Amino acid sequence: MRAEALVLLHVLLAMTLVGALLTAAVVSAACGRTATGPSRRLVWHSTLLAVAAAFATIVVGEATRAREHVDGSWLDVASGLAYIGLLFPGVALAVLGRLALDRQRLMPWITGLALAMVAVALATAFLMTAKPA
Amino acid sequence: MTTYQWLLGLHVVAAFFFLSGGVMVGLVHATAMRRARPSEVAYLLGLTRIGVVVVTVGALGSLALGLALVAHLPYRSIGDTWIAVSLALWAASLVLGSIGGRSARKTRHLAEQLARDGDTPSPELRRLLTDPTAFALNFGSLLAALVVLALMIWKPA
Repeated sequence: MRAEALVLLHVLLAMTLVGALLTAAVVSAACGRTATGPSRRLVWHSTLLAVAAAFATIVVGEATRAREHVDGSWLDVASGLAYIGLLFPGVALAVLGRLALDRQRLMPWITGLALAMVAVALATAFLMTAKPA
Repeated sequence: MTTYQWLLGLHVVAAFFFLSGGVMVGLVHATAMRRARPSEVAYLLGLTRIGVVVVTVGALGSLALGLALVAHLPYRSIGDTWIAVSLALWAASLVLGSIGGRSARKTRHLAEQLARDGDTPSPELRRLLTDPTAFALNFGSLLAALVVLALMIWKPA
């Protein structure tokens, strides 16, 4: 696969990740105390999509890095952010999303964590693009 | 950090809002399509409005920052083929999404009305939710945005 195709796939997966996180954040915030079954399931499915997209984004990113022999402190920082700020919290978010199917009080935690992850994802995208020294 | 790095980084962040907002609208709309009760459909379609705001902010931000990037770089011009095609596709994406969005708004209004009048499933609501024309318009909007993204990465001569 050409390098540009790998980068396009990497970016598309990252955008899917942010879209899933936004969905989880907005729907869990809107749930409040009167969440319906469909909206709880939508939160759970969004968190699942987010963790899958985070994993796939990192895998494709690492493949691109290995193929193109890219190096730099910006990449180390961005990779660190992706692992620490997206992959591991993504697993926690999915666990919370599953538990929230029966426990309404967890919804604010999902909102907060998902919004924090959106901020990390956008910061990572900024670093990957701007490539500061 | 140089001005170019700031502009490029923020341009990409805005593009994330543009397309990720579209992902959000798609996920919530797909969930609404599987519901029968008008109150649930109205509730879910109401949430898509937040996604539309995110898409609009991202679309306008990516355009403004993209134009600023072109103005900043002496070797780039709006006349470059890939930039001109990207601008045309960006506009096409917004127009198609806007027309498709009208159908979603009409569906939400009907769902709200039905929710007030007994909240029983309606064939008319089902027809609007699965309207192939609206689907084609929204899919076309997404496709145009994806081609813009591909052009931004490939930057063909």
